[in-house]
Order: sequence, then C-alpha cells, then structure tokens
Amino acid sequence: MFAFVLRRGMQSVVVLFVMSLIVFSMINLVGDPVDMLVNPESLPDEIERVRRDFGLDQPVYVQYWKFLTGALSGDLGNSFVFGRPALTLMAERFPATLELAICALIIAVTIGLPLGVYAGLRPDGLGARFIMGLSVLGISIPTFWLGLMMIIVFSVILGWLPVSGRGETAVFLGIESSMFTLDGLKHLAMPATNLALFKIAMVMRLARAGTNEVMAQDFIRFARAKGLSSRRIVRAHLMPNILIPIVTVVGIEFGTLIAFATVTESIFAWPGLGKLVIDAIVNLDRPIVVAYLLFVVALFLVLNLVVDIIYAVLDPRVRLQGDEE
Amino acid sequence: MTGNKLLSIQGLTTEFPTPQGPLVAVNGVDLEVARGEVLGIVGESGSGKTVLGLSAMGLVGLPGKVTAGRILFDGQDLTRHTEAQWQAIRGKRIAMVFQDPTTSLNPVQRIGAQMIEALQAHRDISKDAAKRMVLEAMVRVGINSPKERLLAYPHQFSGGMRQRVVIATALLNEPDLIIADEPTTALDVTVQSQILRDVRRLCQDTGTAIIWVSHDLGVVAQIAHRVAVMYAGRIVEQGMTNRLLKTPSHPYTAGLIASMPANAERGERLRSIPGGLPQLSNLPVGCAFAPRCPQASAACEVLPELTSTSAEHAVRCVSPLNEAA
Amino acid sequence: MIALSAIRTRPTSYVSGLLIAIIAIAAVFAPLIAPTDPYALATVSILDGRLAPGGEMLDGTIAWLGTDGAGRDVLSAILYGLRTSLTVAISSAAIALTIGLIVGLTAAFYGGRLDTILMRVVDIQLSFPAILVALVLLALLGKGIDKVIIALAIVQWALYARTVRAAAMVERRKEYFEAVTCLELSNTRIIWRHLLPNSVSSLIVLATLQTAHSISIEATLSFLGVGVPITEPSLGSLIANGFDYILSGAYWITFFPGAMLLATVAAINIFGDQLREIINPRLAK
Repeated sequence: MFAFVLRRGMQSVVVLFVMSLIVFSMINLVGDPVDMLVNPESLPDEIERVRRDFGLDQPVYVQYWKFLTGALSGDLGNSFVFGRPALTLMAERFPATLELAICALIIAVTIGLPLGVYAGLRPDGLGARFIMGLSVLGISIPTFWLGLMMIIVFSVILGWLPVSGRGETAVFLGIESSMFTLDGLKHLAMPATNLALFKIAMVMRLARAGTNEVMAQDFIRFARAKGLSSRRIVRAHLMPNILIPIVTVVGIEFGTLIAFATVTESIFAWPGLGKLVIDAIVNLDRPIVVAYLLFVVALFLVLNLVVDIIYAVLDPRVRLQGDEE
Repeated sequence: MTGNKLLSIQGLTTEFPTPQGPLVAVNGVDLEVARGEVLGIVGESGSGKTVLGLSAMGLVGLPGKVTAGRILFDGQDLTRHTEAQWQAIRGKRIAMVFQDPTTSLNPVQRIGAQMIEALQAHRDISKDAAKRMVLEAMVRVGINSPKERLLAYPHQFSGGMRQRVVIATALLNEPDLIIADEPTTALDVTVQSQILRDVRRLCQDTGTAIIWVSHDLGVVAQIAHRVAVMYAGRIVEQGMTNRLLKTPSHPYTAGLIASMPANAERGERLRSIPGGLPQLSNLPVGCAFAPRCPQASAACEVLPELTSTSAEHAVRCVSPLNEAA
Repeated sequence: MIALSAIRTRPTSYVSGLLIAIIAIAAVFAPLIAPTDPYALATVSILDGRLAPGGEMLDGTIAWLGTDGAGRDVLSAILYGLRTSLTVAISSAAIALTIGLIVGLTAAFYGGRLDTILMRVVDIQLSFPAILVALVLLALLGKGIDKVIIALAIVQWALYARTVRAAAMVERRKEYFEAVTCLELSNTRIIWRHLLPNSVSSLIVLATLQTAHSISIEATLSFLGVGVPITEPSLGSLIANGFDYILSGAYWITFFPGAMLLATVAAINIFGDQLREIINPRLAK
C-alpha cells in the first residue's frame, strides 16, 4: 500500500513539473511576461526596472528556474488589485469554495444515488423512464441560468432565501463553516443545490448503469439463491460493487465542482476562489490567474491520487496488485 | 402427499416474451425427486435445463415467467409463493450452485462474510457461532487452513477452490434439495471428479437430494440414480441411470450416448448428432427432434406424449428403440 | 442508409431532429424572421425599455417576449443571439474535429512512442474540466468571437483525437490491415481509405454531443463576461444582460434566452443519444 502511494506521488510530482513548464511557456508565449508582473499603466522606465529586477533580461532557462523556485517557496507574486500575495488571497478564499463544493457533492450523491439505483433495479418501469428523462434535462440545462431562475423563484417571488453572500459562520470541531448556523445554511442552500445539479444527473446515470450491470451478474443470482432479502442484496452486494466506479468518477469530478464553482460563485456572489479568479480575469489581475492555474493543477493531481487510494481500498483486486509491486 | 416424494414438478412451463412471440424455454415438464435421491438432467445448451433449475428456485429473471404448471415441494405449491416465502425456502430448503465459480462470488466481499450471510439469512445466530459453522463447512469440502481463507477475497482462490466455497455455502443450511447447474463444467477434469465425489458424499451424509444439471452424460452417469433427458424444453426420456445408458429408448438419448468419448472405438472419430436445436420460439408442430432423427417418419408430425414403459421409465417417441427391453 | 430509416421509426429522434432543424433555420434566417433589428441604433429606443411580454413598442411592433433594459425586443435578440451561439459552437467543433482527426489517425497509424506521447497529452488535457481550460485560455487570449472559437477548439480536440484513435485501432488490429500495409500504398491513402471510414459513425455522435456541450460552455463563458463581446451577444450574453434586472422582477429578459438555450442544448443532446443508440445498439440501455 505504501509503495503504491509513493509511486503515485512521484508520478504526480512529474506531471506537476511538466505543467509548470507549460504554464511558464504559455505566459511567455502570450505577450510580454512583464505584463504579468507590473500594472499595465506603469511608466516605461519602471517597466525596465521590473524587467531587470525579475531577471527577464536573462536566458529563458534561468527565468524558468527562478519561476520554479519562486513557485516552490510559495511566491507567485502580488495581486495588482489587492496588493497582497496571490497565494495568501487564495488561501483565504479557499474554505468558502471547499464548503460549497462539499455540500454540492453531498447533495448530488444523496439524491442521485438512490434515484439511479431505483431506475437500475426497475429499468422498464415508468418511474425509471421519468428519472432518466429528468437526467437528460439535468445534463442539458445551463447551470448558470437555472441559478438565476432559482433566485427569481426563491428570493424574488417567495422571498425565502437570501440572494447572495455567505452568511454567518460558526466554528464547530475546529472547522469554521456556514454549515453550522441557520443563516449560513440559508445562504448555502441555493448555491450548493445549483452546483450539485449537474452532478446529480451524472451520479444518477452512473448508478443506473452500474446497477444494470451488477444485477445481471452471477453472484447476485447466487446471493438470491442463498435466500437473502432484496434489501440485503442491494446493500451488501450491489452497493459495494457500484460504489467503486462512482467513487472514482465523483472523486475526479470533485475537481470539476471546484471549477464549476466559478460560475455558481459569480451568480450568488459567494466569496470563494471562483469569484476571486473571475474578478481577476476581468480585472487583468494576472498573478492571481497564474496562481489559480497552478493551484488547480496541483489540486487535480492530489485528487487523482486520493481517488486511486480510495479505489484501492474499495476494490481488493486492485489493492493486491499494489501490494505485490 | 406420498411419503418420500420431496419435489414434484407438474406441467411446468416457463416462457420469455420476444418480438417473434414467446420463447418456450421449459415446455410442460413433469419431474419427481425423492428425498436423498440424485436426479441427473441432461441436455444440450439451450435445451431449457438451466431455466428449469432456475424456475424451481423462483429465480427466472424478468422478462421470463413461469406461465403454467405447479412446483410441489414438500406439499407446498411454490408457484403460488410470494417473494418473502420464496426467500424462506431459497438457501434454506433448496440451494443452488451455478456453473461458473469465477462469477458466483462477489468479488469485493470476503469469502467468510459471503458464507456467514447465508447462515444469518435463515437463522438467528451470532456471528461467532456462524463463523464456527462456516469453518467446519470449509473443512468438509476440503479447504485447507480455513481460518485464513475466511478473510480472503474470491480472486485469491483457484476456480476449483471457489466452487468448493460455493458448494459449502449451498450446503450450510443442510437443505433438502440442491440444484447443481453444471457446477464442474468450468473446472479441470481432475478437480471435476474430486468435487463430484465430495458432493455425493456430503449429500449422502445430510440426506440432501440433488438435481444435477449437465450437458455431459458421462458426468451425470457417475453421480445420478436417475436421469431425465431434455430436448427443446421437453423431457424426452427418463429412467434409472443404468437402464437408460445401456438401452436408451429415445433416438436422441442414443445419439448422446454414441457421442460420448468413452464409447468411441480407439482411432474412430467421435460421432455427433447432425443438425442443431430448433428455435424455441418457433418449435415444429410434432416431435422437436424429428428433423435430426435417423428414425423419423410421418408419424412424428404429431407430438408424442411422455409415456411410461415401466414403473421407472418413460419416453416421448412414437417409435422408441430397444422395444424388447 | 440504415440510419435514416431508423430515425424515422423513432419518434424521439424524429421530434428532436425536427426541433434542431427549426432552430437552425431560425438562426440562419434571423434577419428575415426577427420583428426588429435589435442592434440598429436608430430604431432601438430606451423608452421601450423593460416592456413586459406582449407589450407594444413605440413603433407599434408587439414585443411578444418583452424588451430588455435598453428597449431591444427580446425575441429578436434571441434570434440574433442564436446565430452567434451556433456559429461559435459549429466552427469550434469543425476545427477541433480536424485537429482531433489528424492527431488520432496519426497516433493510431504510427503507434509506438508517438502514439504514447500524443495520448498522454490527451489524457492530461482531458483530466481538466473543459470550462476551466476555456476560462484560463480566454484569460490569456482576451475577448472576441475568434478567441472563443480558438479556446473551445483547444478544449475539445483531445476528445475527438481519443475517439478517432480508438476506432482506428480496432481497424488496425484486423487481419486485412497487415495485407494492406504490405501493398506499399502510400501512408496517407491507407489512413484515409482504411482507418478513417471506421471512425466516422462514432465521430458523428461525438460531434453532435460536443456541439451541445460547446454551446453550453460558450454561454457560460459569455455569462461570466469573458466570452463573446457585447457587440455580438450570444444567448449567454443575453442572460447575463438580464441578470441586472432579476431583482426588479423583469424575469423575461433572462428567462426566454435561457429557455431557448435549454431547448437547443436538450434537443441536440437527445438527438445525439438517439444517434448513438441507432449506430451502436449495444450501448443502448
């Protein structure tokens, strides 16, 4: 197990290194890198000074080395807008995004999994057809537009939920989150549901496909021949088998939740990472954009690693292979 | 009910709807099994023998359905059973073993858990007590160091070992009847005969009756007291094993015997029955075997009844062989 | 054509196909169909602003779906917006398809290390969500329809490449392929005559579903303000435009463009699903 994790960790470092190369060359390809480091309104002699200060007059490999060592020591430059280190800003905003994404994930799984399994157990039933129709709608509906419609219905017309912001937070078990106050939950409800929507359809489809496949297996027939109840078969034999692919996909999709949070956060003015980066793009605050990019790459690598580990824990066949190597 | 008749199947018909009309997999089958008796059912793949076994377990998968007939088990008509009543019978009084041991066990659950649940489905028993019984059962089917094996996953077992586990699981609750659907077909010849011997011994110990389904007359000859030969969903001949093998009455039985490797002269090519099974959704009006039968005549255009020739023997043919016997 | 007759016998595919045709015609002939030209500065009047659906504008035209804050007829704006949305989606799909075809066929034909490297690049790109890659690309490229098309093409090419390669590999493994390569035909000819045709059916399905996907992504990007410029609004920009009026209750400025977007994307998605089932019935259910 340890060797398995170590090997995958090494692979991630290699990919991260390659990605830093790509990011670096992308910055250098698209316009003058000085633009990344100074305010666009700077005077020419100031630009020259910065160019020298940052060693941009030196050969490319020297520049890359500096970029790399800077990035490794957590220095990705200061935000033009806020005048503070990009990484610090991101670290401040990250908890809000994480909270949003986790809530969305919980909603997606608790709604999508039972519906998908139900549709898979009775594939020809009316209920299953209805559920699958909903999932096509769920995949096609533009999330941001649905967010606006939710605001119209629940805030403007019904007046139940607040339009924007994060609301009160409270500390519980050392975690500060708006999940622990009523006001916070009210603020969380719409953005989290909105973000979850796309994933509900996905979890549903995965669960249905998995259920169809597993229920046709011999071991399910043998389990029935043992006289097990349907409930027991679903819980002990169906679930563990369909959870393997679902956990993998949902885990990888957790990254896309963070990515899609940019949209949701913009609609509901949620003070998270996504809103920060969208504002940065609009304001040409490039250090933040670069920092966000590297952060996302790192996040995806970590997620892939975590998913592989969970996968190995769930599926004994994979675990064994990992041990043997 | 007559004393030692354990199972009595009467006019059992199982159909699968298809766009071309119903596919009759089991077509008016009558069978009886006495307590402790071993009945062999022989037929080519597609003859309906597997569906017959599943029907007797109430495990015919949708859209298939038992459309006529009765399954009298110990005096109760199982075809009238609700799913809950079936569950009380399955694994407790009738057990089933499937053909492919590699797919009969849940790949992500430990062997021990899969055996223990078979016990706990039918009796109120502590986990420790169940574990003890499972260990004993594993020893009985010849699994070495059962304690460690209990915690293993199916993929860590060989095919023969897995089938031993499956058989041990099926016998855990000391059922009155075990339906074995080609349990040795997927195994090596040496393992095959060991398992055959073991099953016979174990069932003798507990007084369990066996329905042994196989395409291989040779295997059935080794284990069965009586044999029923199935063709295109119908029983075409049944009788005591020795009598049937020595003096078959139905031309199809004779063909099966002639094609057994053991009956071939050295150097001679194996004989096979020309032609293939008719379409089950479009059976000929008369005898289904007539198109392949060397003895076929105009009289075969009418479907013959399964007629008794003696107390222990019946055949479905207008001109049976070995009349004198 | 088996596929065509199969479409006729499936009501779902028939209806969704018809809907796509209507939407496409509406977009192409928008200047002829639209009641007003929403971008002719001379005729648009701020006095017509925020008319509810069915209201009458100053020049007597009925605004069936209402007007926006600047007094533009929403129905007309939708028809014009549809043009932009479809133009972006289809041209980016065409570019991505071309790149994907070349890369996929090259990888499948030459195999070996080249194949490994190309597919590794594809894997890495596909491990990032499309919306994110597009967002970052646009942050670096800047605004403009051409930039959006480029960004969407870059986002999509990898998927086409992987699909083409997978289909071509199936063909490559067949026995006749060895015979073909022995004939000393030119490489290009082998690729075009033997590897390409086998991947066409899966490509059609993929291109259909991807078009729906890129319409969504473009709308999202434009909504976030990093997509197409205000001068050529797409459905996404129209929705963003209506965002400012939501709290004042003028729901129609966002609702109708969104409903149009939903109808378009859903119709293409359903049609694509049906196509997949027709072309590869094994995947159905």
